Amino acid sequence: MLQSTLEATDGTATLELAGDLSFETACEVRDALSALVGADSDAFVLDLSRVESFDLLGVQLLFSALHSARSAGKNLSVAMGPLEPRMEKMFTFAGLPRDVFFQGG
Amino acid sequence: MEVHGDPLDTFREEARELLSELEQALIQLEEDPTDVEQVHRAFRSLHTIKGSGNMFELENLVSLTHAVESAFASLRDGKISLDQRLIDLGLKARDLIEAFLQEGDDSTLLVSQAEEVKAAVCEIVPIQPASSSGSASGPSSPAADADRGGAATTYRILFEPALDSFKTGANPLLLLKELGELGELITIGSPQAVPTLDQIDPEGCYIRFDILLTTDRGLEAVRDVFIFVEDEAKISIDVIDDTSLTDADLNYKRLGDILVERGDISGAELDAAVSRREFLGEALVRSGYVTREQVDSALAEQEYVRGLRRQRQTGEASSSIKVKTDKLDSLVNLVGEFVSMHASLTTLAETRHDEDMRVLAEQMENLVREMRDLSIDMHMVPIEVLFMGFRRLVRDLSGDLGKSVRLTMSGTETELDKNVIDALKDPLLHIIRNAVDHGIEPADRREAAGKPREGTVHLHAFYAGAGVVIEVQDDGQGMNVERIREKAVSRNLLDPAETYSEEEILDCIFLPGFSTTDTATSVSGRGVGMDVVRRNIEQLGGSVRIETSPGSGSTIRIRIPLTLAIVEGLLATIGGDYFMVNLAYIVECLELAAVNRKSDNRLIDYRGHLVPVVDLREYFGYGDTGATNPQIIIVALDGDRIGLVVDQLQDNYQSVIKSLGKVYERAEGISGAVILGDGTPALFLDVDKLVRVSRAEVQR
Repeated sequence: MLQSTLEATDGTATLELAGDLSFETACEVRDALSALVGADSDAFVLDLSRVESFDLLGVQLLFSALHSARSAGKNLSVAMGPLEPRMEKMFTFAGLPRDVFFQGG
Repeated sequence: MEVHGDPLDTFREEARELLSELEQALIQLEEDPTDVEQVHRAFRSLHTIKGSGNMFELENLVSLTHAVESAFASLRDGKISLDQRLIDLGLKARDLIEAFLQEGDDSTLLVSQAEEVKAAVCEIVPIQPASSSGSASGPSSPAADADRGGAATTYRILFEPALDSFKTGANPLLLLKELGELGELITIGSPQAVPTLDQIDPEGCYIRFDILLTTDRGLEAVRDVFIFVEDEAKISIDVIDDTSLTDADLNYKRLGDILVERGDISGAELDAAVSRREFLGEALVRSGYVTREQVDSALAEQEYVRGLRRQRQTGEASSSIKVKTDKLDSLVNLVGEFVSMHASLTTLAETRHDEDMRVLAEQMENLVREMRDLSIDMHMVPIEVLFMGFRRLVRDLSGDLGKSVRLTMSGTETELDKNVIDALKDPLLHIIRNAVDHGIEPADRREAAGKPREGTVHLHAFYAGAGVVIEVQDDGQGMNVERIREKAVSRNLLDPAETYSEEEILDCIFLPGFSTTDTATSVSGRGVGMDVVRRNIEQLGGSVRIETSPGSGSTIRIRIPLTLAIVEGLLATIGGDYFMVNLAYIVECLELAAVNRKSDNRLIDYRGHLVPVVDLREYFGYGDTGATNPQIIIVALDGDRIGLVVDQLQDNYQSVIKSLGKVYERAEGISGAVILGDGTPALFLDVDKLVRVSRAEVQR
C-alpha cells in the first residue's frame, strides 16, 4: 500500500511517500519517483518520514531516483527521521551506502 | 636434522583423542539425555575422524564412522530421538574404530563386527552412502558441515543476481543470510548498475554484491548456497586467504592488484593510473576506469584480510602448540641431567677450593631451578584426563554385574606429571574394578540396608605437600577385617598368636595371590591385581593405604609424588654411604644428643609429643658406625611424624631418581637411587615405608 503526494514550491519539488516501498508497490514507487524527477524544479526532496518499511527493491528505486536526478544535473535530498533499526539493518546487511540518502540519520 | 613423523601416525594419535571425546560425550549424554551439546560433540568427533580417515583411504573405518555419524546427524537435526541403543552402538563403534586404528583397516574380524554395528544403526536410522570427500551427502550437507572443525578460509565472492531474481522468488538477501550462517561475512553492495527511472524495470535486480566470507566449512558448502541460482546469476568464488599463509603475507595485496584480480580494471589501466603519480584510488576514479564504490570495495577487502592476518598472527603467538610427549620427556630428562651436572660443578668447585667456579655455580643455581620448574610444569596435566577414562569402565562394569553404580569425581583440576598419570592408569583401574565388583552391593541389598539403590564410587584428588593424594571411595559394604585376618592366618601370612592393627591386616590385601572372595568373577576376585597395584605405585615412589568402615564403604588412598623427573632431597650419610630424604617430607633436623629419648630409644620427646624413631644405622644393618654426633631427621607423612637417625647431614641435592631395577625393587625402605656429582650413588629413602614400619612397631 503506497500513498504519494507531490508538491512544488519555490523551485523545489517535494514528494511525500507513505506506506511500504516493496516488491508489491515497486511500480507505483517508480511512477511516483519519475514524477518527482520529471518535475520542472531545480531541487528535489523526497520525504520518507511516513514510510513504514522498504525492502531491497524499494532501496534500489531510491538509487534509481538518485541516478536520474544526478544525470539531470539536479540535487535529490531525502527527508526522514532516524532510520528504524530494521531498515538500518537492511542497509547494513546488503552493504549498501546509506549515507547518500540518510546523512546522519 | 628434523625428522617428521608418519602422517598416518599423527592421524592415529589425533583420532584417539577424538575417540576419547566421543566416549565422554556418549557417557555424558547417557547421564543427561537433554544435553544437546554432547550430541554436537559426538557428531564433531565422528565427522573429523571420518574426514581424516578418508584422506588415508581407510574405507572400513570411514564406512563405520559414517554410519554412526549419520545417526548422530539425524539426532541433532531432530529426525530421531535419543535411544539407549544409539549410545551403546556409539560406544561399540568407538571401540571398533580404535581397533581399526590399532590393527589396520582390513582386519576381517573387525570388518564383520563393523558390519553388525552398521546394520544395527540402520535399524534406527537409514544411512546414505558415505561420499569419498567425506563432506558431501547425508549428514555432510551445508548444515552438517557447520560442525566441521577445518581451517578457516576467506573467500571473495562476486555475486550478481539475475535480473528477474525477485520475480522468481530468489531474493538475494536470503542468500546473503544463508552465507552469513557459514561464518564471518562482509558484504559490499554496489548500486552502481541501477539504471535511471526511465530505464529501470522496477521489479528487476540490478544491485551486485562483493562478499568476503571467512568460514571453516569448505568451498562446497559455500557453493551449495548458490546452487539454485548458479545458472542465472553471475557468481565467482576465489580463495583470497587461508590459515596456511604465513606472516610474510601479512600485508596482503595492493589496491591495484585487488582491482585487477577482481576484473575491475586491466593491467594497462593500472599502469596508466600509477604513472599519474596520484593516490591510486583517486587516479583510477578520475580516469573513469573504476567507480568510487569499486575502489571502496577493494580497500575494504584489503583492510579485512590484513585484519584477519594480524589477528591470526597475534592468536598464533599467544596460543598453545602441540608437542609430542616423547620430546617433552627428552627435555625433562635433559634438564634432569643438567641439574645433576650443575651439582657436579658445585662439588668440583668446593673440592678444588675454586672461588670463581663456586660463584659461577651459585649464579647458575637459580637458572637451573627455574629451568627445572618450567620443564616439570610443561609435563603436568590435569588428573581429569585419567579420571574421565574410568567413566566408561564403571558404566560397562555396572551393566555386566547388574548393579547400578555412579562414578563421581572431585579435584579433577589437580595436576600431575604426565608419566605419573600414565603409570597410575592400571593401578586405579584395578582398584575401581574391585570397588564396583566387591564393594558396591546389589541394588536390593543396598535398599534393604537403607542405602540408595545406586552405589557411588567417588574419585578425589588433592595436593598434599610435594605430592598428590588420590582417593577411591565407595559407599559399599566395606571390608570384613576379621575375615581378612582369618584368611591371612590360614595362608600363614599372619601369626595367629600376634595382635595386629587393622592397618596391618588390611595390608594383606596387597600380598600376591590374596583374595577373600571364594568365587572369582570375570571382573575381579582372583587375587591378581592388588599386589600389582602396590608394586606399581611404589615404583612411582608412592604409597597406598586402605581405610574401611563395615556397611559404609572403603577408601583406598594413594599418595604419589607430583613428578618423577627431578626431586630435591637432603643428603645424609650412614657408615660412609649416602642416603637421600625427599625434602618435602622433612620437618626439622636435630642433634640426637640434644633430644630426650624414651622407651629404649624407640621414642623421642619432640616438642612435647612422643615421636617414634627409626635408627637407620640399625634398620639397614650397619651396627655401630662410630659416628660422633649422630643426627635425627624429623619427617611427617599423613599426620604421622617419625625421626630417622643418621650419622651426618650433608647438603640439599636435586637429582633425577633412578630405578633400582628388578633385583632390588623389593628392598625395604629404599625406593630408588641418585648419582651424585662425583659419581657416588645415594639411596633414596622410602619415607612412607619407614613411617609404616615405625607405626607398626609402636602399636606392638
